[in-house]
Amino acid sequence: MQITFDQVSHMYGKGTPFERLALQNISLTIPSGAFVGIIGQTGSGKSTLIQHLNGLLTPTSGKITIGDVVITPSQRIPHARRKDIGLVFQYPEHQLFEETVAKDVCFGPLNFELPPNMAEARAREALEIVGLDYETMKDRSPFQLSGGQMRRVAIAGVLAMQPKVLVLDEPTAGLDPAGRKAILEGIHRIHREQKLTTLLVTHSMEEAARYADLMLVMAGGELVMQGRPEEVFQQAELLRTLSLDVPETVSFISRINQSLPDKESLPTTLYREEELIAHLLERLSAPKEC
Amino acid sequence: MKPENLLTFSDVTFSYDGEEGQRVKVLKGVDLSIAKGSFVSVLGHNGSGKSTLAKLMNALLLPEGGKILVSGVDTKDGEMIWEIRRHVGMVFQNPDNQIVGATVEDDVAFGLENMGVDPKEMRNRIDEALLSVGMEKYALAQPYRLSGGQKQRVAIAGIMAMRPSVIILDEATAMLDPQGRQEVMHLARRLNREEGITVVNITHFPEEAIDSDRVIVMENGEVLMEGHPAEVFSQVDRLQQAGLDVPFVVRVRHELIAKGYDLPFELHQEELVEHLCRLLLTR
Repeated sequence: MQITFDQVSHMYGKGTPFERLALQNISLTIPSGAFVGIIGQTGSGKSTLIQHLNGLLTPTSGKITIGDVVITPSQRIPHARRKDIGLVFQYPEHQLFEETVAKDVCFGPLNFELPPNMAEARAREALEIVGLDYETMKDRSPFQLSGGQMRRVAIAGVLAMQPKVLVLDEPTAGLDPAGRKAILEGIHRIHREQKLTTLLVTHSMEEAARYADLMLVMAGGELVMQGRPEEVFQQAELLRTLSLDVPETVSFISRINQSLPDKESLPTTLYREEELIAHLLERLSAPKEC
Repeated sequence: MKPENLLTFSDVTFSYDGEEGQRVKVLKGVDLSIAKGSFVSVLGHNGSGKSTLAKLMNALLLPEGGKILVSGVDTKDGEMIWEIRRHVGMVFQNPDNQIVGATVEDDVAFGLENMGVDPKEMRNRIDEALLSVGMEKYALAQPYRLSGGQKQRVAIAGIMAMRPSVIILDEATAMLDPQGRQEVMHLARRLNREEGITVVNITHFPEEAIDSDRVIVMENGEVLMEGHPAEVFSQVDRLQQAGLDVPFVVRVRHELIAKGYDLPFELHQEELVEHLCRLLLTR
């Protein structure tokens, strides 16, 4: 589903002494099927932005369209369409509440009145996407699982709704590298297979570099950059002034290019680690020109 | 002179009650010591026993078997428990469980007030702690209005202001943005270097461990490896088998030497770039 924001602003506590402009004139277009990385310092408005997508917040001014749904200050997202937008909050494991893993993952589908056997089929599929075996997990209490497993169960609960737009707010915070990779690879796989539109809020420039084909950079409630990762990562200085950084691949390439003659420079588009290594190997094995 | 050990674990075991009522062993006879004034990083995947280790260090948990000494004091000595906790400050991952003050500076002052620190000294320490976590502009802000990352920086300031002899960061940077992470690590390093505070950094980010004096790798309730960062991170295959990552620079070199290129082991970008450029220019 294509998502557009047209001059969207959001003010918290409007009309009270505490009013604060959290989003300021945001205009953006996310094509259907894009994998979007959203980066920005803590407090830059990332979470406020994504909470507009499933009606948790409505804009104070401006217009949002998601597919054919229009959201304005006076027009909320229809209840029946909310299931199309799956929102995974920060620390989603805090929202687990059922007696068993199966019941917890089935809760959403059942709430939208799916028959129990279909809800179970969806739970099975969703758990497998995040790398958990349905049979061994279904009867366990979610509260007896490890932190990483709880996180995966919570994400599966959102995937079981089969959303068309998937929004994840720092889904891997606090997980170990193996757990981070397992979750993101699973998400990336269904993103491709089911042609989802996915928005990933992350503090990890490495995660953004690996998965995103479009990036949004937030600062002080404004959208300061949008573009392809290589375009965004070329603005290293600007990113640093925004308390952000570039992936290690990008700083590595720029260091190498400082030490090499211009004609031997590495392309700055090699922000994905595998591509950088493959390129280095190719350069090392190629006979020297001239 | 042999450095004095601030923390000593001797054959420490710990278990908790599992789902079916059975005991699950989290630590299976851990021996380790942390030297006074050192900066030690603890790596290990979720469930490896890292956090249990941390909670045992300031007597939030007591060992089932074995013995833990903090500056020579047994953590099982009930009369010394407050003294131990004053000595061993702990910063947790989730700031929402740590904030108590009505304003940011009240929150930072909380521990100092309990310790009876002189008001003038308290003011200095609060200002310095807030400045070093980049929250000085928020001294009078209400903590509940801060975002998660900002709260964590306040919580860290509160612990840092207490100037304990050991600071344990239990994945304290997990929720911070890149610069927040850098600021916190920078602060921890500075306190370690300039104030002689011992730092134990429990983390999932191998990059944070590069400049440590020692790295301890936990796996399945046991110490899998320990040593200087170069000794530990040069064992790439073994770490990856344990589900752990190595720093970017180590990964890149590992991939290149696997294809037969000759590059010395390095932990920092500058050095690897130097070797690599030489190789690129002389091939």
